[in-house]
Amino acid sequence: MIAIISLTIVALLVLALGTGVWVGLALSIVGVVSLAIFKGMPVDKLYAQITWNASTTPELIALPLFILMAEILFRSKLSSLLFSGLTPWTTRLPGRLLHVNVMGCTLFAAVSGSSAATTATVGRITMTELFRRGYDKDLAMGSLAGAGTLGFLIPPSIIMIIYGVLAEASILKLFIAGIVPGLLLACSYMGYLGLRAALDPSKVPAEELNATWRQRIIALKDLGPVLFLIVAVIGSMYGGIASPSEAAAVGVLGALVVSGFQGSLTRENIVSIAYGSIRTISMIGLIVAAASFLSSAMGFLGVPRAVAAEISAMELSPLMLILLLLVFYVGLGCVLEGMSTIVMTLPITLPLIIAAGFDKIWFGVFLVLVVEMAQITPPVGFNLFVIQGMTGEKIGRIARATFPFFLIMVALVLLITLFPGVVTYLPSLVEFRG
Amino acid sequence: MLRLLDIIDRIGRWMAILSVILIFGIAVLIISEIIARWIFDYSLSFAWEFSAFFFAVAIFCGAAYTLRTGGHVRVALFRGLLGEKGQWVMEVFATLVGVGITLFAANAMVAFAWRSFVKGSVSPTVDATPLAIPQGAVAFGLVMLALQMIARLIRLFMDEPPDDEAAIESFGSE
Repeated sequence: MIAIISLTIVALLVLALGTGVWVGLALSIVGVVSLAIFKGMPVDKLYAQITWNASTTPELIALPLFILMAEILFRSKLSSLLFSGLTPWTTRLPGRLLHVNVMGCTLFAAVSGSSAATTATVGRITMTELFRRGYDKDLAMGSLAGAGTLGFLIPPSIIMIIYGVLAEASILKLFIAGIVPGLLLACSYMGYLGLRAALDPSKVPAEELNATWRQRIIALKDLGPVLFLIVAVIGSMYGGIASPSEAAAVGVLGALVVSGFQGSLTRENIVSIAYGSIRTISMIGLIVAAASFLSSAMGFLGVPRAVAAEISAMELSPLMLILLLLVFYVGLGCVLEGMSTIVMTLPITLPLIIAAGFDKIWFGVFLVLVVEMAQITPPVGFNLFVIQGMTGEKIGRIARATFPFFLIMVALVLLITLFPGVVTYLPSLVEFRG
Repeated sequence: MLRLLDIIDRIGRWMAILSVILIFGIAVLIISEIIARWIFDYSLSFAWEFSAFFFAVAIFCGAAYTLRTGGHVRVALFRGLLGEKGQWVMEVFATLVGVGITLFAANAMVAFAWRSFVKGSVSPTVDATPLAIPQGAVAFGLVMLALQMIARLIRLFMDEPPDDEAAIESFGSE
């Protein structure tokens, strides 16, 4: 019986999503229909109650605030300041300005919770500049797509907020856990770029960029706004002053101040910020609420327990389980947007992973990496779409250019699986402090 | 008929603006709370409760506008494999499913808010907010989402573009 229920749920999901039903609605309808068929219960009361509870979860308040903040910063002068501030710091590196995407995304990720926003904000200036100066197009596009995903891994992170709420894990600990893997990923990207540039000098134009230390110090002024925001958001959280939601509110205020000082808060921009942020907020909110409902529905039907029993009967080693999940999620991520894949599958995969002895925080970081991969795997990958919008190149070419960065991510997943301490060490210190 | 559909669009836009104001309201509430706690060592208990309500209302009151401007995520992969006629049929199917679930959701939430109103339910905190107010606003958002979905179906049969292309264009490459 449980096999029939599980198959029905999967079939309904495939049918609804495949025919283009909006994700936030498809998840609800699958929950409603499967409960109606197999439980014969009046679903409307349950639906209303769970939708209400999910959308009023206090921890979620950080979500709209971080989205609003990213939207304000996207329409400020931050992207050109990032470029001019970082340029003199790249002159000695092999590959020079090729690194500007990774460095810019790493900095911006520390104030942005979304990977598409990071890609769009940083790439706005860097793409045209790198193309104009004759840098290798593939490396420029690939590094932007790859580094843009740091938006999810380096705190704050929208995905971590959603995971924290659905999995009942500490959002602050998740944020802290993302730091080391995020920096590792950024360093690996830069190492790869430097290696490619050193092996093939034609990837980099011959123009001789020089910068004195004086110029470098002066350029720091341009990085001032982003550093100010990092201190405001991250500082208040790790200083123990503010919870993630409070830090997000401070971030909104800081973004308004920065944007206001730059004269970017024009009437036109304010309208775009308003409409742009509500579209993202409503879209994500609807999906989170629907995912909570589907998760409860599956719980009522006993699906997670049954699947967990099936999988544990296979007696996979923890490593095999992770590899299996990796393949499963990368496959799903090719056709689905990353956040949807996680909220849909979490009710099944989380109990599995806990039973296999993995840490909740660790699994959160694993899932974030998996979502990042989904952002850059064709045919459906948000970062690829963003870059396509900027450059007009074909998705296929952008995806090929991004593939080496995808492989670096896979390597990082294997690394954190073999050495979970990379993820869990920092958050464990926080527990110590109480 | 198109005039009627435009009215739905317009209400949707107003509600989207209301939603953004609520989100800014959350930022104001939370910052006031931080300041009150820091300086006066006094916690504004209503700040968190209202913020949660504001967010819930904003999600659903922005939903109709988001639908109209193509903001809700969907899988567009298989549509590309079909011809023009096939795409239209699939779009009608997806929209019909959408009409079904949004009508169900709107009906469930209206009844939910109504029960809270009749029973006089209040939030289990010192603020004792009557729950029917935020729940009613969420229900209204879902009713408008259902109406926007029906409007989409009508537009499809009138050979009108179902998404507001002009608005989408103005969002640029996001």
